[in-house]
Order: sequence, then structure tokens, then C-alpha cells
Amino acid sequence: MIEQLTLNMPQASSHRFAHFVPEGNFELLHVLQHLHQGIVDKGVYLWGEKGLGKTHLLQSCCHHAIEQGLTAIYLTPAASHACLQVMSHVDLVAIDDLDDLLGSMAWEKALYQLYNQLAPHQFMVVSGRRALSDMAFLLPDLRSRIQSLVAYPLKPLSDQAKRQALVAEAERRGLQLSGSVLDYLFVRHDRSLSYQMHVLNRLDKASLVAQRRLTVPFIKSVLAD
Amino acid sequence: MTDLAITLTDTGSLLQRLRSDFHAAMETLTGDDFTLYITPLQFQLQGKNLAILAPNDFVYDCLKEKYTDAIEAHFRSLIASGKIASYQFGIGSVTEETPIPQTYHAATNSSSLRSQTTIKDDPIDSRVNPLFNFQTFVAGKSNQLARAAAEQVSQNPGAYNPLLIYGGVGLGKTHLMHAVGNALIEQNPNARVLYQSSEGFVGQMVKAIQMNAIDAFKTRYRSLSALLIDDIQFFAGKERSQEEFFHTFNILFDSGQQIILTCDRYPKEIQGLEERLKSRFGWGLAMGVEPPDLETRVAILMSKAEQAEVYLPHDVAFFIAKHVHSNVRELEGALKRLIANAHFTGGELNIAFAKESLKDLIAVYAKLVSIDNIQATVAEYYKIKVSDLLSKRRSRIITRPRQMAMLLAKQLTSQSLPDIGRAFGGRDHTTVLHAVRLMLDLSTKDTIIKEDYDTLMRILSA
Repeated sequence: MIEQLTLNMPQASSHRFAHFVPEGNFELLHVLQHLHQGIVDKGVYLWGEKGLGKTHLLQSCCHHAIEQGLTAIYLTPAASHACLQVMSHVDLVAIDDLDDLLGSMAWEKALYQLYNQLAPHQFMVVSGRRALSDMAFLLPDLRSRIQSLVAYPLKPLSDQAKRQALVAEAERRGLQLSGSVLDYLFVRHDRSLSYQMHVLNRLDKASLVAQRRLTVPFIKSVLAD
Repeated sequence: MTDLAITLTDTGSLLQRLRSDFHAAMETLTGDDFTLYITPLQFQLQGKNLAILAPNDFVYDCLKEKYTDAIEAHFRSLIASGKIASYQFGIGSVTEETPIPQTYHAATNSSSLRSQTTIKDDPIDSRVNPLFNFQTFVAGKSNQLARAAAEQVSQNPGAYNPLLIYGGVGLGKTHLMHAVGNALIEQNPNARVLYQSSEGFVGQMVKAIQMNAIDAFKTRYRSLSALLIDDIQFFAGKERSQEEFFHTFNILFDSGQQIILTCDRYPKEIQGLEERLKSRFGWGLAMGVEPPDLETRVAILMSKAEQAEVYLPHDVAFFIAKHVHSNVRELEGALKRLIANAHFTGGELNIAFAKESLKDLIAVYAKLVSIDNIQATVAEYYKIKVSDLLSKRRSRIITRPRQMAMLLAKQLTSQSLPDIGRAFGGRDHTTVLHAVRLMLDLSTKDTIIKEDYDTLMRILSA
């Protein structure tokens, strides 16, 4: 149980608001960046399919809070629900993948209690893949509480915005992606940003190992493995 | 205490040093462990006897399980160097009322500390939320009887005992319960009122049993002048807790103290609740709350907007209330979203603005479209079969819809072009690319194709 707590996500992840390409999600980004300034109370529920940037936003919230001198923790259902018992001193609790914890009565009760005990200065940001109306809660009490959070669907990025995000991430890693490389990646592979970022991660390591620039033939050889 | 006490300033700086030394010694822990377990620890020093207090069982158990060796090694070295005489690791919080006994040993058994610091008899923290009062409770047909009963109880405790408020989630049961609690405290600031969820009651009882402090637990609950227990349905199946609650109930009831309970259904319908409890819950008055009707929902929205100091036009409140009707919390969520949107865009709160802001909340349209869905919709639109779209046929009557479906699949899904090609009868990705370019081009020149495209896009996005 205790091993599952050592996720180290906020420390280990590089997700920051500055790296998030908002496109149609400006309002959500604004709300999350000003959580502790009273725009909303209790918190936010954001939802959308895999690969739209939910984890990025949740971890960015944690970093942002920590940079402001607050305490924050990022949790997934892989952690123990018992963690939620020790949140009285945490200013921001981010819970990713709500879908995966529903169905566990222990988790639902823990989350229900966390909500009930939120002090005015405490917030929760919860993410899920679907709208709350499409999700099966064991505890109706929890459903209605999550419904009181401000809900935002994450709008998918256009291909153009995804390309920008990929290029920006590549530049942060000191890599250059040419137009032909981008064309190849976006024509021949899944175009979701999470998949493209995963590919970039692989290519980053492979180019370091092979001491090669990112060219289409090189990428083909790496991704063929 | 005075014999061993050193001056406050000295104690403060010494404590600070002990704390920072301890943090330095434990900094090898991973970030989460340090934040979760080490940061919340409190230090208390009396003379040279140090107590390290964990805020709850969870932190205490985790530390003992995982870091006993490291903690012991650190504090034993402090004893060896003469900085402290002894240390004690327990559960509790630093308070002036809980001095450390002077007979501590450098040991891990902390039962004496536990019993002194975790359950306090006096004064009582009522846990009543001051924001939930009768002024902020919006009454309508659905809840006016429950409100009247609650007001009666607040003015004349014992009038209905117990008062049981039952109904679905998010309908104001907890609000009414807190409102009574606030009114009782307002009338008598010394009243021993306690709000507790049934889960909280069970949790405290379990801890009390573990710490051998059940007597303190009983004393605390049985000395109340009003006990407010929320969501009693969670007592179901917990026999030991039910038994303890049964005795607490009897003692409070017999001595004329007020008991208020809430439940998500009529208690007789709860499976796993003892009959003797069910019958006692029926001794007083049971009032149901129903989902609010349209007018009440409008009134609730107007009240919430007023509390948030936002001007909400009546027609906008009506629009939201018409579309969101499951419970008050969802209504509140919709209003908050609207206010956040207005805050962000600086837009005026009117019907058009509300429609735009809440369209995703109301329609829940933002489900990603699948290729299968696109094929079925396009086939139906052009009155052809899905199998035609996937076939090898090349007549214009089939190829245009196929190319349209490929364009929509490219725009509305995140699938790769080879995947899209495969979904259309195993075609090559270059065919998909050609279709996308061709249809984008045609849609700028051919009004019929443009109209088809717009209509299909609307159907699939709606």
C-alpha cells in the first residue's frame, strides 16, 4: 500500500501551464491558474478522452501551487485511498482518472469525505474521461458533490496546434523537427498528442543513443522496432 | 512541569533546531513520503523530554512501518549527545492542555500519549458550518415542511426528537441540519452541539477502540446537548457502531437532548440497519425533502448568485433551472461555470451567453466521434449502405460519400491516415490523403458539397 504513494509525479514531471497549448481551452486554463484566487470554490472537474492533456493540466496545477508556496499532491487511483485521510494540510489535491476509481466503495467514500472536509482554502481538481452524467457512481452522494465542481470538457486540439505543441516540446529537449518529419508523424501515426509525445520521447532517447538527427528514415527505423 | 521547563524562547529555538535536524536526517525520503508523513509531524518539548506527534493513525502507522529504524537511530543519537533525555512517538497535536508526562522513556509504546491527545473532552468543536443557516436556505414546496420542522426544533429543542430529514442527494438535508446547529449555538454559545457524519462517528469509534479510549469516546458523545448525525445510511452493516450509537441515542434521548439525523431514504428501507434503531428513528418526526420544482430552482440560483455577489437576470436563472434539474449541487455547479465564464470573458449574463457557456454541460455533446459512427451517419445521409462505403465500387454516387466520410474521420477523430484507410475497406493512406484534399477543395467550389459537409458536421458534433 505504501509503495503506491511514492509516485513523485509533481517532482518528476515537467508538466507546466507554460507548456500547455490551450487553443479552445483558454477559459479552463485561466480558471486553473487562478484557483486559489477565488474564481471558483471547492474546485474543478475536467473531462475528455485520453490524450487531451488532463494529466498535464493536473500536474501543472500542482507545480503552480507549489511555486506559490502552497502544498499540493497529485494522485491516481493506483495510490491508496487511505492517502486522502492525510490531506488536511494540503492546499490542492489533484485526482486523475476518476473513471478508474469509481466502483471502489473505499475510494468513493474517501473522496466523499475529502470533499466534505475541504476547508475554504483547499481545492480539488479531478479529471475523468467522460461527463459526470455518463459515469456510474456507487455513491450518489459523491456524484452530487463532484457535480458541484465547475465542470469543463477539454476541447481537442487541431492538428496545427498539436504540431506546435510537439515542436515546442522538441525544442525544449534540444531537438528539431522538420516539416517533413512532422508530416510523416501526423500522417502515418495516431495523431493524438499523448501518442505523439510518447513517440517524441522514444525518438529523443534513440537519437541520443544513435547520435543521429531526427530524419524520416531514422524515425522509420526507430518506430519499426 | 515548572521544574523542568526552560524559557519559552529557548524552548522555541531548541524545538526549531530539533525539527530542522530531524528534517535534514529524513530528507532522503522521496518527495511524497516527506510531504505526507514528515511535514505534518509536530514536536513538543518539556524539559528535555521530546514528543513527536503524528496528526493521525495513518501517518503514525506508515512511519512506524517504514521508517522506525531511521527515526529511532536519529533520536537515540540525540539522547547519546545529551540534547534530549528521552523521546516519545505518538498521535495527537500540540496543545497547552496536554503537557507531556515527565515519566517518558525512549520507547515506542505510546498508549499513554494517545489516550491523552486524541480525544479531548472539553471544549468541543461543533463542526457546524456557519455558512449553512436558515437565511441562506431557499424554501419551496419540496422542502418547506422540513424547513418548518427544523425551525421549530431550533427554537424549541426537543419539540421533535429525533428529527429525521430524509431525501435524495443534494436536496438540502445537510444544510437544514447545520442551520439548526447554528441556531442552537447562537441561542446558547456554551451549548455542546456536535455535527458528525456517520462515517466520522464510525471512524472515531474504531480509533477509540484501537487506542483503548472507548470510555472517553462514550463520555464525549453522551455529554452533548445536541447531536447531529449526517447520512445515517452509512451505519448499515456496521453492527458494533450501531450498538454504540444505539446506547448514545438512548442516553441523549432519555436526558431530553436533541438528536437530528439525515438519511438518503426513509430509514425503514435501509438494509443492514438494526430494527431497534429503525424503530427509534421513527419516535420523533421524519420529514422528507423532494427535488426542488422549477420555481424553487430559480429561487435557489438567485440566492446563490446573490451570495456570490453576482447579478443574475431572472430569465437566465430560469434557463439554467429548466435544463439542470437533478439536484441543487449540480445547479450550483452550472451557476459557478457561468460565473467563471463571465469572469473570464467579461461577457454580460444573458440567455445567449448562458446557452453558449453551458452548452457542453447541458447537451453533453463532447463525446469523441468514432469512424463507425461517421460511416453510419454518412451512409444514412446519402441513402447508401455502409458496406458500399467500404466496397471497391468506384461510381461517383459511392465515391463522393466515401471521400466525405474520410474527410470527417480525419477531422473528427485522432486516428492515423493508415488507420482511417484500413477502416474504409483496407485502403492506402494516400487514398485518404487524396480524399481529404479533394473534398476540402470541392467544398470551397461546390455549394452542394459544402452544404453536405456542414450538415454532416453539425449532426456528428451535436
